Amino acid sequence: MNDLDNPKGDGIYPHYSALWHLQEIGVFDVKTGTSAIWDDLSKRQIESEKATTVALIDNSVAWDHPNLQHAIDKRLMIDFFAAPLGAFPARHEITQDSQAEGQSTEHKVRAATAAPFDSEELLRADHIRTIAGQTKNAGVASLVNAFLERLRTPTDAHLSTSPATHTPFSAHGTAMAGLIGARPTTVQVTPIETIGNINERAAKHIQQTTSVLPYSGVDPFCQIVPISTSFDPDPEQLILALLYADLIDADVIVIARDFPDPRKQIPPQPASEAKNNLWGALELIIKSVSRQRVILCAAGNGADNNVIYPASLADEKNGEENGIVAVGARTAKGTVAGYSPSNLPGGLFAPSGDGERLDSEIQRLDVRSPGFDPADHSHQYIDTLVKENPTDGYSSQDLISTDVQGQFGYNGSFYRGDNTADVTDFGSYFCRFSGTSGAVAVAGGLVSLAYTSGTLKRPFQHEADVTNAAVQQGEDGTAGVAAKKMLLEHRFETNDEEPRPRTNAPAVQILTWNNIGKNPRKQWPAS
Amino acid sequence: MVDQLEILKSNYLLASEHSFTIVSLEDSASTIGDTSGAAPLAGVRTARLGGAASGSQNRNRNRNRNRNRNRNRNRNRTIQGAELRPSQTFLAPWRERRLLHDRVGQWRDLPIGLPPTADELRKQCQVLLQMQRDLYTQEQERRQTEIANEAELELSGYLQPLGIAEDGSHPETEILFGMVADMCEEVGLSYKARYQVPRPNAIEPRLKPFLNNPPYSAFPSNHAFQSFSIAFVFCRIFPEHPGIYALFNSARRIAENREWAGLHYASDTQAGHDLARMFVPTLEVVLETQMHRAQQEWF
Repeated sequence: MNDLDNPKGDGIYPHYSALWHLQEIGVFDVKTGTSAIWDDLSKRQIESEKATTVALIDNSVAWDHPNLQHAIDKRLMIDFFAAPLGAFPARHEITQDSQAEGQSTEHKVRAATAAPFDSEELLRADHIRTIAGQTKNAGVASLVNAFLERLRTPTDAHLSTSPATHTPFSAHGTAMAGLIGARPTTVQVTPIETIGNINERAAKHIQQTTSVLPYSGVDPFCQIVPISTSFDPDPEQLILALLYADLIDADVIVIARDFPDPRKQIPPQPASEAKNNLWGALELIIKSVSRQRVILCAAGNGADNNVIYPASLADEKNGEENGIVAVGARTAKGTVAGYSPSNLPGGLFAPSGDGERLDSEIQRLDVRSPGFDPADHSHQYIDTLVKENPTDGYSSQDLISTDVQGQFGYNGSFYRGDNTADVTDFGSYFCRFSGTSGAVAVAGGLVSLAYTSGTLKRPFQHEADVTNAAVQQGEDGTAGVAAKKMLLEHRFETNDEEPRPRTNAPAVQILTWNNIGKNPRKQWPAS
Repeated sequence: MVDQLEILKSNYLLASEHSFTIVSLEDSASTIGDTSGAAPLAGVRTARLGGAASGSQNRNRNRNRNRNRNRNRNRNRTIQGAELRPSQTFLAPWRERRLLHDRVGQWRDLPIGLPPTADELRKQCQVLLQMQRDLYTQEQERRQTEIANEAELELSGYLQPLGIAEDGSHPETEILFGMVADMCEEVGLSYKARYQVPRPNAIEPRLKPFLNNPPYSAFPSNHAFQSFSIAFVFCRIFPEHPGIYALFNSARRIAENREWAGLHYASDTQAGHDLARMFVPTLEVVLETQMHRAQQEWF
């Protein structure tokens, strides 16, 4: 057979469990549907304790998704996309509901973002002021003061700006949140009426009114605080996003995006001195915040080894001075994903989908795709594309996560599916997801689970005797640096194994619960 | 949580072909490892046609595009080849205008701040004078063409950073951008009427604008408002696009070209940017349908 006589792609892909990645990281057994660590934690009744807080700096999240309803901290969720000093989406929604009767639209909007923080919530206000002060940038200092003032006593000007968090346009954030901390749940669905004669058994099948949504994130015990930002190249919103994560005492911060710092581009881009100073301040702030709370950053999907910024800070000065961890993607076949950097000295790998590549280093195409025709390709590499090769070649297994329900999101439905009508198409609750975004969400969930179980200790938990006064004075913890050290030491199944290069690589190692979860609590004092 | 975890023991979410299947093991005698074909009909729910059909049209649509934009772009062109539409032709967005005015309380008083004083404007004019001199140097020759092209709404400055052209490959995106500009024009005029800031050459007669002054006041700049609104709205529908920063930079250049043309102060541009940012919560509701249509071209 001529090698170009390989079959055309037939569009038929293998089935797989939506929770395959949880098995890969050793948290969940797909065959039995059980998780030893989750069972253990649910018996401990950790609901009474403070849940692990994961700050998700991303775009907005469809927080009304059934699998996410108990995973999202609606009170603290904030948006910096539209309002320069932040607006609170859930408080906004609640207000809209409660004053549907009789109030003018204008009043409704103003009341919407009224979210004065009380003194307890602002306990760490002085701490973020201290971090801002370290930048020695007067603009940053006044920005932070204005932000804190807005939280304490919002004015009419603050309250007249709504958040840009309309759930239909929240696909990326929703998928991220689901991978980190979705909960299995059930939903009531509105049965669709049947007209004319129909087989009784068929009718019964159509008219089911409950649907189970058997999906879970890595840590179904955590609380996620969505912090949404835009991609306007504006360092101020990112400065506030990071300082807000510190203010609310997040344990873990997950960032799937890059920051367009002109100094960090390849090659560096020219910018005004004032802009560069502001980007410099952001860099100091991200490092400073990471020392206390580990920051997991997506390594980038550029199909090269240029790790995007801020993930690239993970390697700086041997990575020992900050708590920033870069996360790359490994496919279900165990290879580095086609789009992911393969060399991450300050980082680790987590499961995600694959990406097609056709260059001198890697020849990996989706030969099952209906668009694949071997006649389009060359003898040079056609043999390396064979689909049945278990250890190399393209992996068609994406991550599965939560999606905006109804017609919107990555996986749309014919049904509108807004809050007024339940969706009968449960498929639209889920989507395929990939990229180092997906990998960093899985890793973020795993680190969150380590905090929830006590394997890692929270920023100030290890100093139970740290007084509120010390926190207020901005005393620096180093829990982030300690967490990073532990993660990097245990990122491979065996310590002597390094990630192998991509080409024809059988395996790259990922961080798993077996590595970090079984370590006794006392072994990892975070100080 | 114990109850919730039980759900996972008796139900199984399967990524199947182009959609999802939930296999319920409760009604089935089969073991968990043996679900293929063994579970009775009542125990299996496949996602309805909606999710399945839309998935099969473009199975890869939900992947992060950063790595294979070109591949998909070409594919989209092929799929839509039969239904190419002329660029930028759309009906008057009457429904969207109605929705816009239904929500007037949300946008009529956005805090863009007050315009600068006359003294401050005079200072800004000195910068504009220098820009006027520089505009005729060889280095800025390209700007002259851009300014002339951008006098009316011209989409190539927004489409190019996204890797597309006005060739009908992304007609819904083009229509969306046109609608954004339409909504903004009206709202921007209402702000301009409020502040009545004179155009720069009314304050500094040595300024000879490259184009004629439009017949309304300066603050905020509608070009900036429309331009940044297009970038912000695209950022809501497809933030993963690798050209997203280029889109913002291009939007800024289009806005600043109006300063080079002597038509706007820098403070007008800034106010237009700020208004665009704060107007997104209104736009994403008012233009929800068209944003969704445009999004389908990218997912």
